Amino acid sequence: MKAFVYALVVVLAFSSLSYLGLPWWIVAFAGFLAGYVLIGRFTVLLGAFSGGLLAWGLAAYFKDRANTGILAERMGEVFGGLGGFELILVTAFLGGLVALAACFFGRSLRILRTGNSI
Amino acid sequence: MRFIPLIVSGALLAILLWGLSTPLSAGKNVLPPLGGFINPYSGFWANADPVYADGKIPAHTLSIPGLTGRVEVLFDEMQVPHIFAENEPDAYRAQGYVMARHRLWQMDISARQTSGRLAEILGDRVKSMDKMIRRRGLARAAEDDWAEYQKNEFTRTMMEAYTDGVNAYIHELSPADYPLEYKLLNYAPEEWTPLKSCLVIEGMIDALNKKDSDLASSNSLALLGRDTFDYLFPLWYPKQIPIVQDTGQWGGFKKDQQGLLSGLHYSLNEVPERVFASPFEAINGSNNWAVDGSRTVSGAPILCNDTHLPLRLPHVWYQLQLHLPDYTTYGINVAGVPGVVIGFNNDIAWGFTNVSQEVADWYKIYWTDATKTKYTVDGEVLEAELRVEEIKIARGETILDTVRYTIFGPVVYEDSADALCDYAYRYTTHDPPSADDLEHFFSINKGKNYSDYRRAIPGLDCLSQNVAFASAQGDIAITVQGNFPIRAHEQGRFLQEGNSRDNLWKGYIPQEELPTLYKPSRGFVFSANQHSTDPSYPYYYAGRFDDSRARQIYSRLKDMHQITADSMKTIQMDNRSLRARDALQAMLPLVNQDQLSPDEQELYEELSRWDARYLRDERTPSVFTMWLDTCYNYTWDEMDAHRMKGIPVLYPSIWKFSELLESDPGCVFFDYAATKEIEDASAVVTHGLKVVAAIVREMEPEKLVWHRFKKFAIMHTAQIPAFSRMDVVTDGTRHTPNATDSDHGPSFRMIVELGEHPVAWGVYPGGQSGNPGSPYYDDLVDDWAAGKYRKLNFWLDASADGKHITERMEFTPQN
Repeated sequence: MKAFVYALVVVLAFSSLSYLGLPWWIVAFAGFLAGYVLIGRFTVLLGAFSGGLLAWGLAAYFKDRANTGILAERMGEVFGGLGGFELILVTAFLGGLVALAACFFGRSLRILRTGNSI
Repeated sequence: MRFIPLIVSGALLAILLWGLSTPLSAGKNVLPPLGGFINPYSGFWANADPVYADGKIPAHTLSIPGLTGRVEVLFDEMQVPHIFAENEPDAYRAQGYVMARHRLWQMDISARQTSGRLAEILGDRVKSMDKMIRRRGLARAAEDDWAEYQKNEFTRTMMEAYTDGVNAYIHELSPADYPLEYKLLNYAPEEWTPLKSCLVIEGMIDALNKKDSDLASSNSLALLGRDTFDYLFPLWYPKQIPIVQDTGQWGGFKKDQQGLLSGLHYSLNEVPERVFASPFEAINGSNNWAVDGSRTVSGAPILCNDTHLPLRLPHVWYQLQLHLPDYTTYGINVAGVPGVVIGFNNDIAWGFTNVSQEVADWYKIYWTDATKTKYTVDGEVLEAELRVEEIKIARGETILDTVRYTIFGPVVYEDSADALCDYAYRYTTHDPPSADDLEHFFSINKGKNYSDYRRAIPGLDCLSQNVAFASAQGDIAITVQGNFPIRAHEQGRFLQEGNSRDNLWKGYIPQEELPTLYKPSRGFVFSANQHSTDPSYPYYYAGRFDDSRARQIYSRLKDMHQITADSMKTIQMDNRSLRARDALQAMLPLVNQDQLSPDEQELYEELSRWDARYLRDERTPSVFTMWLDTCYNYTWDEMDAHRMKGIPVLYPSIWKFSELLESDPGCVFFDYAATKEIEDASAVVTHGLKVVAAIVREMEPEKLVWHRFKKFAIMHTAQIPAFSRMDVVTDGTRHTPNATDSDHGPSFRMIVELGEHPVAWGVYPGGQSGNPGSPYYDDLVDDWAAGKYRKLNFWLDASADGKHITERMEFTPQN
């Protein structure tokens, strides 16, 4: 459980650095870091996925809320007729997916280097 | 084996990151890399502007290089900036900043369009558009404009200050702040320049003045013969009420031009019967009028203007107020240009409509050989000036196009059937302006009376507009303003020979001999793209003039007294078409009712009851439109046959068609070539009604309702449906005063009541912001469609009523 929380916090914190102008793929770096540093099996992967999900999902949610859904409604149409909330979910899922893939890679690299399969 | 998870996970991550960083192809469109576009920090979510429902008023303190004093900008509830500055350059700096903040992408795309640089961002599919606009010489005209304008200190300072403001905003932007369209099209803003402002001006001039039918007229003349051509295409519409009527005022006109006119012997080209591209045409209209105090409740003049343009989002116009120590002006301008172009101040108001005269001509050029570098004029060999246009194409190879400039203008079309002949295009906007033009024109912003108006309007130069005017002193006036070539009779109506200097334009009609109406005894002036004058005006002109709106506006104004702003609104929102009424009156008596079935008879009765008003929820306007179109197309099938072969030809106007129905029902054109029988007008309208009845039987009733039938929509400039408004319900049609057509209509309804302080109302189908993620993107559309107006805030000091303020900006000089 601890590993889940740590992974989530690491990814959420690093991804949020995007607010400072860092590129969008910082979420991949954060996921990689969590996978490479934190010990754990699926909990770390799940934590990284959740961190990416929340980092992108919450940011989209708060922007959408402040905007009263004006832009999400229009962009949802660009994305093939999605509703505003569905668009937030897609955004969140993509953030989570990138973090998860990077975490998987980081974990694989650590296992290769340390031989510790946990 | 230990490497497998690493390889698999690495490959998965690499594919994911590559996929999210690579532009995606979707048919002809290229979508931006998804990772950058969808991430909530710098992607499209960053364009979700906050909506402040809690009354919070955001405030910003900023600076612009070159600023010399403090500038305060108050945004009202429409997000209209009210700019309070200590001097004009600072005001234009702030204007550049706020316009860019709201409309940067629109400014960029407007400048690109006129300079022929769209393919740089949109790719191969628009390269022919870029090529054509460059061949028409507009980018070069803008370069000539700036070369002249910068000789005038006021204009240079104004343009450069405005540019400083735009660039100050651009320099603040990180990629996260780029307007949404930049992200979608995956490119970055570039520096603004005064030349780009000139490109935007040229683009607007072209949008308004681009119309010529020389090639189609030449073809029609050849195909129909002189008598039939004159019969079908008269220069004057007998029911027309011109802008300026002959009261004997132009008796002395033209006497100073006799020397010039004696040299005019233009020669008509032997008419080509080969394929040309379609003529350039922008059918944009507008209404304006002013009534004097004798007709108003307040005793002060009222000026009204609604400019009809293609309706797009972001909206074409931008509202603003400029407040300076010596004047305050409120109005609109296009994004990318400083100042106020249509509007009012404390003392005067002014508004535009298109003149509708043709101000471009075509000439046949005779090359000496196939290299097309030299051509013959009056037996003399002249060298063409070659300008190589470099058209860059996104994801494609740059193409080079050599444009040949002759004394008759640039060669636009190359004649594929004759290697030694091409077609050159002479356009008023090719002539460089006077350096002082913009200074003169923008002096209208601080004008106080009729003399100031008359001094300012020659600055419009090649933008030909009917400029209506009213002053708090009680004056009203209208002037047909612009550069109009002095022509021999019918010169410029057809393709001309480009082998004789006789055919060159010999100057423009002098300013003092342009049609003007000042303080007419009837108490009002008006224009709606009708003829400028009646035929007695000494100078020849031709064009495409509206035959309906002006008559309807005149019929309303002439009997209207005790006028208020509300009564003016009813004219701007008037949905009655005299063109439809005239056609209906001609068509109905010709229907052979004996041949009608019961449901066709019912349709006939319905049309008989119709009052020619195009109301949104009625079906009769749709039925009539189908009936008129069917009969019209049936009648002019001969023209269709030529058009189908790719030969542009003229089609007679609707008024002429209606006149023929009444006065010449046996006219040969009523016969339909595809049948053995000989049809007359009665057969055409009866057949047409039967065709329409059959359509009505099959069509779902809700699709016949007028607002659905005409399919009105306000599309985004890049044709992105999600950023467009497809759901707007409107009355009217192109030929009613409320000229709302499928994608076209009143782009800014303005009513100004002058007096001690001006009181004004306005509305447009859009919003101040160009950002689809802003609450101010399309917030005025529904009011506009419903015929509602907003009271325009005319603030004389920065301590304006706080309840109207939604945002504040303060610009201070840099230390």
